[in-house]
Amino acid sequence: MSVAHRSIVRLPLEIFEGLCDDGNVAAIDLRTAISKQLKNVAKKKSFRTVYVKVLTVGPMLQMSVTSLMRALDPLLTYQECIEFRRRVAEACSPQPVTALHLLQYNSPHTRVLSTGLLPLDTSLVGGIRVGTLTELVGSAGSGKTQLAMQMIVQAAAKLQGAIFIDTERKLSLPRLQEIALEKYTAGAALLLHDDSTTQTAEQQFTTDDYVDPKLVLQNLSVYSPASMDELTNILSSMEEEILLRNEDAEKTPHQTFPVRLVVLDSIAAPARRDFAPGSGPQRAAAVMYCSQKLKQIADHLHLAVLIINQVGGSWNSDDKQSDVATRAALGTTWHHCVTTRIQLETVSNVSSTEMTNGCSASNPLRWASVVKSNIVGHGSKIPFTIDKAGLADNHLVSSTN
Amino acid sequence: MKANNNKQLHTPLSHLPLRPSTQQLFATRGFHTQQEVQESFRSGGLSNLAAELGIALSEAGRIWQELQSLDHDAQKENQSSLPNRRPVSAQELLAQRSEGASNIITFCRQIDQMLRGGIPLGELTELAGSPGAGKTQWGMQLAVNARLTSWTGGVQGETCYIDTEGSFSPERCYDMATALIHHVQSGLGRRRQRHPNLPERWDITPEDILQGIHIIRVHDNAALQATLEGSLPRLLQERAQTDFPIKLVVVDSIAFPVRATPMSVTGDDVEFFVARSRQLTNYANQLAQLAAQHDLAAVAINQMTTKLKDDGGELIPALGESWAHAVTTRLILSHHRGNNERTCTLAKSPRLPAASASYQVTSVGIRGVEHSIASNSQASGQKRALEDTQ
Repeated sequence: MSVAHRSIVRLPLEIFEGLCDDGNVAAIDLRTAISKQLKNVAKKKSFRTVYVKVLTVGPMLQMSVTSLMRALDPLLTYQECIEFRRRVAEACSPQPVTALHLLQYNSPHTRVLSTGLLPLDTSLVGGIRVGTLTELVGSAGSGKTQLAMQMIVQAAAKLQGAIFIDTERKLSLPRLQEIALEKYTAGAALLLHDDSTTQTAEQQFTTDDYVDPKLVLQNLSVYSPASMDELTNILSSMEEEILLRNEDAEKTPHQTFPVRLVVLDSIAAPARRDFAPGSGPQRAAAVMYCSQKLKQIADHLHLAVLIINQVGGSWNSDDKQSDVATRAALGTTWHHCVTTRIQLETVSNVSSTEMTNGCSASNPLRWASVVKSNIVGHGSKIPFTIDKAGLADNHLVSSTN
Repeated sequence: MKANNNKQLHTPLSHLPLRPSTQQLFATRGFHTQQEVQESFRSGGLSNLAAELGIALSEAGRIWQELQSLDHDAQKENQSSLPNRRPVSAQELLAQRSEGASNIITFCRQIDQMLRGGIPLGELTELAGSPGAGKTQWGMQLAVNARLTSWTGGVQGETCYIDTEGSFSPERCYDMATALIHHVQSGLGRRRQRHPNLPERWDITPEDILQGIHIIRVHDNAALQATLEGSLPRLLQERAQTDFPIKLVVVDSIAFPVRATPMSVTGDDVEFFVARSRQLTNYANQLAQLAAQHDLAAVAINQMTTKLKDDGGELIPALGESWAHAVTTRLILSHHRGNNERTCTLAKSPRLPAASASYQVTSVGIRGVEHSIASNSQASGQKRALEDTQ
C-alpha cells in the first residue's frame, strides 16, 4: 500500500462527510465532483500553463492549499481545503506501532536468513536480516554470485522460495543445480549413515538441511532486465507476483514455498550502463528509487534482499588503503541505502609464508567480513573457500583481522 | 483592537484567500473591500447581500461564512496577542522560560558539554553523517535517553520515531534500554549520598521504555508528507495529556524519501529542484512548528553527498542550501576509517561556538570517550567497539 498511489476518487467517504458547509451536497457527490475537477489542474511550467491530472493522493499533497482551492473552485473554501488536506493526510498516513510490539511480534526464525557460511552467520548475529537490504560487495571473481546461489539453496532447504534478478546475465543454472546436489548428497549421506559421533559442532546437519535440486529450481523465479527502466518496472510488479506465489504456497506447502529472499545481481551494471558519466544526480535518484522499492517490498512481505555490487575506481584522495569497501561502485549515495554490507576479498598475489597455508594461484585466499551493520560492530575477516557445494569455511587459515 | 478591525475591513477583497469564483463575483458586482460587504449585510441582512450579488440565499450564506471564518482566523491571531499587546522585554522572556530539563542528554560528557546540555527541546536539530557513522544508532540512543527521569536530568518523555529507511532495530534498542537502566541504577547509590531525596531505584523495565517509542514506518515521500500532517500531530495530541508526553521526534532519515524521487532523464529540470526545495522548507517548518508547539526536540537525520571540486570531492550534508538554512542546529557525524574514532562536530548553532567532540558506538550504545581526538591512536585503540573480536 503506497500512499502516493491511492486514488482520490476512492478515498473513504468519511473524509467528505460534513466537509462542505453547504448542507445540500452529499458526501459521495462531493467526492465525485472533487476528483473530476482535479483531473484538470492548471500548472505553470516554463512560463506556459499546462493542464495536469491529479488522480492520486501523492500529487495532491504536493499542491499548496491555494492551488488546491483554485483547482476545486467553487467546491471548497480556503478553510475547507485546509480541513480536506488534514483529513486526507490522517486517513492515508501510516499508523504508529510501539518498538515493544515490533520486538515481540517478529519471531526469530523469520527474522534472519542463513548465508550458509557459519562464521559469517555468527558475524551477522544469525544471518541476513528480513526487512532490510544487505549489500554484497567485492571485486570480480570474489565469490559474490556463488554466495548468492548458496543462499538460494539454503533458503530452499528451509522451505523458502527466492527471486533472482539477473542484470548481468551471469546466473548459471547448472552451477546452481550442482550446489543443490552437493548439499543434497551431503545431507542425504548423513541420513544414510546417521553417525552422530563424527559430526562436529559446525556440521550439524539435520533432516531439514538437505534439499531436492528440483525444488530449488521450481521455487526460484529469474528476471533479466536489460536496463534500469526495466528493472524499476519489474520492482513495481514484484509485490503482486510474490503475493501470488505465497498464495500458491499455502495450497501446496511441499511443492511451493513462500518467497523469503530476493537477490539482485547486480545493481552496479544497469546503473553504470544506462547513465552517462555526466548524469550523476539522475543515476543517484534512480538507484535510490530502486532501493526504496526494494525496502518497501522487504518490509511489507517480510523477506530479505541481497544486493550485489561491483567495485569501481575511487577518486577520493583520502582512500590510502585501497580497501574493497571504499572502492564500492555507485558511491556514497548508494552506501546510505543499505543497512548491512558484507565485503568479499580475494588475495591472488600471495607471499611465500601464506603459501604454506594451502593457498596457490589457482586457489586464492578469500575473506569475508561485515563492514556495515546497525546491530554489530566491525567483524573480523572470515576465511573461506569455494568448492562444489558453494562457499565453505576455510579451516586451514586461522582467522585474523 | 478597534483600529485593527478597521484596517482589516479596508483590505481589498482580492488580497484575501477566497475561491476564484467568489473573487470574480465580488469584482463584477462592485465589491472591493470587506467593509462594503459588511455594509450590505448590515443594511438588509443576507437577503440584501444575496440580491446585490445576484445569487441565491444559500450561496450568499456560504460566502458570508467564508468571510467570517477568515475574519475569525485573523481575530484569533489578534486575541492571542491581546494580553501581550505591549512589547515584551527580553528579560521577561528569559524569566518565563520553563523550568526543568530543556535538553535530551546524550550520555557523552564531551558532547553534552559542547551542546551545553544536550539536544535542545523546542527546535529542529539536524544530524548529518556519512554512511556507517552511526546516525541510526544516535536516533535509537536518543529515543531511549528521552525517557530519563527528571532527577537524572532527563525530559521524561516518549519518542516518535519516523523510520524512512527501515534501519530501526528493536533488538538493538532493547539492549540500549537495558544498558541505560543499569547505568542509572548503578550510579544511583553514589548520587544518593549527596542527594538523599532521590528515590532508591528507577522502577522501570526495558519493555516500558520500548513501549514508549512509537515507530511510524514511512516508505516514500508522499507517506512522509501525510505523516507530518496526519498521524504525527494526532499522536502528539493523544500523548500530550499523559504522564509521558512525546518529547522527541526523530526522522530517520529525511534525506532518503526526498532523494529517492525519480528524476527525468534530462535532469536540467529547474522546476524539479525548486519544488524539492519548497518541499524541504515545508518539512523543516512543520517539524520546527511542532517542536515549538509541544516543547519537544525534533531531530532530522540527513545523509552526505559528494560535492565535486577541482582536486576531487568533499563530503557535505545532502539536501542543499535551503534545507541548511531551515534547520536551527546542525551536527555532523564522521567516522575515521582504520580506527574506531568517531567525531561529532557542531557546525551550526544560534548560541554555541563551533566545536568537535568524540564518541564511540559500543555494545551498550553511544558513549563518550575519555580522550579527545587529538590524543594518540594507541589510547583510543583501547576504546574500540566491544563487538570487535580482535
